Amino acid sequence: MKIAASRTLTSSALALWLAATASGYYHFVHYPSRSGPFVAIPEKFDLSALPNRAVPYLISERGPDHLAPNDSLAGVISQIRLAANVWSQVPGSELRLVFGGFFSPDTPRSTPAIEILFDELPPGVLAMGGPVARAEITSGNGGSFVPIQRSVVILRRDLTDRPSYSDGFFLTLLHEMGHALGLQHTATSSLMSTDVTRAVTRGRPLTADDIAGISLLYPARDFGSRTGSISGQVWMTTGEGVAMASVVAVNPGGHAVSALTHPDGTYRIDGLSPGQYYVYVHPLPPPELGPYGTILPVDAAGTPIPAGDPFDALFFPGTRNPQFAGTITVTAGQVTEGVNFRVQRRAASYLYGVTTYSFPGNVAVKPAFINVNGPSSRWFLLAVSQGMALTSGGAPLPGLSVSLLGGGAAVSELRAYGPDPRYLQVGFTFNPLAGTGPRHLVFTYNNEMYVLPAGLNVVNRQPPFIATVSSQVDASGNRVAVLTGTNLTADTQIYFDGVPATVRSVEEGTMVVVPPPAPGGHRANVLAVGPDGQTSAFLQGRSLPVYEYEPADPPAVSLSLSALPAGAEAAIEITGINTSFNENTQLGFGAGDVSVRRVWVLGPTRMLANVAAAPNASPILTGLTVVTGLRYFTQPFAFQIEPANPRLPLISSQLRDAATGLTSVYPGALAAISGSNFSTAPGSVAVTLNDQPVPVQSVTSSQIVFQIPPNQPTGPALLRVQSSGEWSLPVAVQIDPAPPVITMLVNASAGNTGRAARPGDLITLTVRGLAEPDATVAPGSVKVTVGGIEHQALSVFPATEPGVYYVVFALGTGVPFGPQVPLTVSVDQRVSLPFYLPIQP
Amino acid sequence: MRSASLISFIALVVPWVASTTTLERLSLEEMAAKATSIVRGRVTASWCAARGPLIYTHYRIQVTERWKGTGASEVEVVVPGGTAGGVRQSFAGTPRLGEGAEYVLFLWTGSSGLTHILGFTQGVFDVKRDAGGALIAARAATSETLLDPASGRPVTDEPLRLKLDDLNRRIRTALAAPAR
Repeated sequence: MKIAASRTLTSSALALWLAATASGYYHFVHYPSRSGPFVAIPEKFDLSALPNRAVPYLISERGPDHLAPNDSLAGVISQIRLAANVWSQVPGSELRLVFGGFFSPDTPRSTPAIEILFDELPPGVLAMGGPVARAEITSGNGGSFVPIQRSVVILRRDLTDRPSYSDGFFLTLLHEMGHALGLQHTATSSLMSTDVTRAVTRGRPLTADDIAGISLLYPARDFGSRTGSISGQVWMTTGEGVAMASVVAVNPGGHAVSALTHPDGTYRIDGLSPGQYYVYVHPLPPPELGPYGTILPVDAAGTPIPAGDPFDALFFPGTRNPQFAGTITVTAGQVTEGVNFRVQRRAASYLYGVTTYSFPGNVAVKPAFINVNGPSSRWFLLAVSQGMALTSGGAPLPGLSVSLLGGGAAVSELRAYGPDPRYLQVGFTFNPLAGTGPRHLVFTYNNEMYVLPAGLNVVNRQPPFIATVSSQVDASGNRVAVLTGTNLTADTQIYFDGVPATVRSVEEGTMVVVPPPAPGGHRANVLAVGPDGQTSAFLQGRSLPVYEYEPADPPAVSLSLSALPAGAEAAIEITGINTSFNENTQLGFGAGDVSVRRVWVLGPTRMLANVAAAPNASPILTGLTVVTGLRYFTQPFAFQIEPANPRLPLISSQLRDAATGLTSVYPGALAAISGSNFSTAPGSVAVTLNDQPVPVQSVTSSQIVFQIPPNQPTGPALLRVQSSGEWSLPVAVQIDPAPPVITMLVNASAGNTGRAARPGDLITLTVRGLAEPDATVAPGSVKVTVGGIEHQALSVFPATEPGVYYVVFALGTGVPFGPQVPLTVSVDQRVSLPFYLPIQP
Repeated sequence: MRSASLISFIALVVPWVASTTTLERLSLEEMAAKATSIVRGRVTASWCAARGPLIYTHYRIQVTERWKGTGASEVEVVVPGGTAGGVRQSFAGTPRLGEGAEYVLFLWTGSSGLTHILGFTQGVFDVKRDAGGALIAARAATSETLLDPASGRPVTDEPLRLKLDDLNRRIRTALAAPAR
C-alpha cells in the first residue's frame, strides 16, 4: 500500500535557490555559527577567478616508476584525461576541467588547480585526494563559499598491482578527483561512496547523487529550475535535532540523492529530477563517524561539529516496512517541505555497508548486475555486510529479511552461498514486463533497517565480450582495428586504454573501429562499454585484449612564440612532425598561470592557439605538452613567462558584438575588444585583422570598437592593436557567420485560439541563417532559450526557402510568465536577437 | 545580524582543508611481511612540516621493542596531514598519534628515506591495559575504501583487539613462515 504523503506537504518556489546551494550534500562544510539557522558553506573552486571558468589539472612530470605489463604512461594519462572528461560533462553543472600538461611541483603559480601526483605511498594505501589549500571565505552568485586554491590527487608511484586500464584504478582516480573538486563520501551507492557500497562502473561512472553533488557546487544556469528539492527535519523522539543524519530520496527505478542534516536536524535534498521518491533517513555507518571517516563540518573556529547519536532508520512517514512507505512528489523549481522524521535513538548500528556481487561469467562483478534474459540459475546476488554477518551456521541469519523497494522484482530465496557460506545468496524473480535499471535492496534485522540503493542492477542482455582484436588496412589505406566478440552493438563504445575509438561499422559479432592516435608500438588495452553500464571487464576481468600499434617515428612540435609577458595573451602557431592533431588535441604548459584560451586545428600538423599568462604570474620557464589520443609530446623548458611589459598594449581574444554584447561577431558587425594600455589620443590607435587595417569606431583606455569588414572571411583571423606606436602581440579571433534571425513563431498546441503559450506547448520557430543552405543541422546543436531557461530543440529541418530552417521545441516547465518573455535561438556561439512571446501558467 | 556573524566568521576562521584516502586491506600477516620494521614504542614528540603541496606530521617514537628490522632506539615516522604555515590539512583515513601514547606500529621506509605507517590506520595498534591489567593491542576499523589486493574487489575492515603477547606471537609466526 502506498501512502500519498505528498498531499500533506507544502511546496514553495525556489526563488532564492542559488542563495542556498549545497544546503546539505556531503561537501566539505563550514558553518559560520554553532547555532541555527544553519547555512552550510562549502569548499569549491572559484570558477569566476579561473581562465575560461575552467579548473586546470596538471600532471606531475614525475610519473609512475613501475607499471604492470601492457600498461604505459600514455595509458595512465589517457585515464586521467578520461576522468577529467567525466567530471566536465555532468549535466546540470558548468564545471569544466582543462588539461594543463606536465608540471614540476617546484614551479610557482598563483592560479588554483588540481595537481595529479605520483608519490611514495606505503603498502596498503592506494590513493589520496582533496583540497590542500584554500583562501578565505568569499561570496559569489551562488552564496558564500570557501575557495579551493590547490587540490591534489595522489596516486601510487608503483602501479604494478593496479594497472591504469583496470576498473579499480579508473574509479579510484575518478573518486579522488571528486574529493579534489569538493565532494565527500556519501552513503548512496554513488561514485563518491566508499568502495564498499559504490554501485558504479566504468560504463556508468556517476549516479544522480554525484551529479547533484557536483551540480550544487558548480551549477549550470538552469540547474535549479530543472530540478526540485525536499526539505524537513530529523528529531530524536526525545526532541533534539539529529546532526549528520543521512536523508535519502530514492526513485524506485532510478538512483538515490542524499543530504546530511545540519546540526539542528534540518536538511534539504536538492538536485532531484521531477518525479516520485521514497524518502528515508539513516545514521551514517559507524566507521564514517569515527576519526577516520567523513570529515566533520567545522565552525568558525575550525572546531568540528559532532554527529548525532545512532538511531533506527526509517522511511517517511515513519515506518521500517517499505510496503508502508509513502512517496513524495518532486516538482521542478519547487521545494517539497515538511518531510520530517522522528527517530528512535539506539546504542549502536550494526546493519550497514552491504556489498553485492553477481556472476555474469566467471568474474565476480560489483555492484550486482542480473540479466533477466539469462538463465534463471544466475538470478541471484551475493551480499556481505561491513557491520555484521548476514549468515550464521551455514544459513541466513535468523530474523534477517531482504526485500526490494518498488515493484518489478521480488526476493525469492535467501540462503548461505555454498562455496563460501559467509556470503548471503539472495535469489530473485522478475516481472517480465518490468523495465531494466537499478533496484534498491532493503535489509531488516530486529529493529534495524538498512537500504542499499542500486544494490541490484537489472539488465536484459549479457555484457559485451571482445574475443579478438586485429589490425587491418581498409580500402583507403587507413589502419583500422577489427574486433570480434559478442554483444558488440551499435551503441557499444570501444576504448583503447582511456581513449574512445571511432566506430566505423558493426555487424553480427564483428566491429570495425578507428583506433585513436598512439605512439608507435603502443600496446592498448581494449575495453567495450555497453549502454547499460556493463563492460567487457565483467567477463574478462583485467585480461583485456591488446591492440598493438605499428612502429612509427616519435612526434615533434615547435612553437611560433616561446615567451609571453605576464598579463599578455597571444596567438601561437604549433607546428608538428609525425602528429595527428584533431579536435580532441589538448595542449598544456605545465603551469596553471599559463592558460590556453582557444585552439583551432588547422590540419594534422598545424594548430593555432590563444595562450595567456596570468597577470600575477612569476617569471618562469615551463614545459609544453601536446596530447592527441594516446600520443603525447612533451618538452621541458619550452615556454617562458617574462616580467610584465608596462608599455605593451594588452588585448583579450574575446571579441564581443558591440551592439548586443554577445560573444559571436560576424562580417560587417561592430566588434569590441577589451584590454589595457590603449591610448585615447585621437588617431593614436590602429587595429588590423590579418594585417589589414580596419576602421576604428571608438577608443577608451580599456576598449576599442572597430568594424569587421563586410568581406572578411569567416574563421580565425589574427588581430593586432597598435597604440602610441607600440604593437600588441597578435591574438586569434573567431569571425562567425551572421547570427540566426527568428522570423516567425507558431504554437501548434494553441492552434487558432490566440492564447498565450503555456508550459508543455509544442512551438515551431522559423529561423533564417541557422546554417549554410542545405546543411544538416543536428537538433542537439541548437538551443532555444526562453526567459533564461535553456531548451533543447526537438527537431530541426529545412524549409523550402534556401537557408531557412524550422526549429521545434516543447516549452518547458520553469519558464517565467509574462506578456513579453524573450526567446532566442543559438547554435554554437551564435545567438539570435530576442523574439518576444506571451506565456501564461 | 547575519553580516555581523559573517564578519566574525572571517576573523576567526582557521585555514583548514580536508582530503580523503583509498586504502587496500592487508591481513596482519601481509602487513608483517611488507613492513620494513615493526616497533612497539611511545610518541615523545611531534611536529609538522610541508613537503611539496602536503603537510606531514612527523612523530618521534621512542622504541621499546623492535619486532622486525633493525635500527636506532628512536624512529621518526611521517603521516600526511597537520598544521604548518597557518594551514591545517586533514586526510580521512590517516591516523593521529597522541604524544605520550604507546603503540605497535607497522612501518615502511621507502626510497625517499621517509618512514610511513603501513596502510595508515591499518598499521597502528593502541597499546593499553585492560581491566585485568593485561596489555592489549587494538586497532579500530576504518571506513575508507579497502580493496582486496588479490581480487581487486572491495572488502570490509574489521576492528582488531588482542593481547599484546598474542599480536607479537602472530607477527613472529608470520615472519617465520616461508615467503610465498
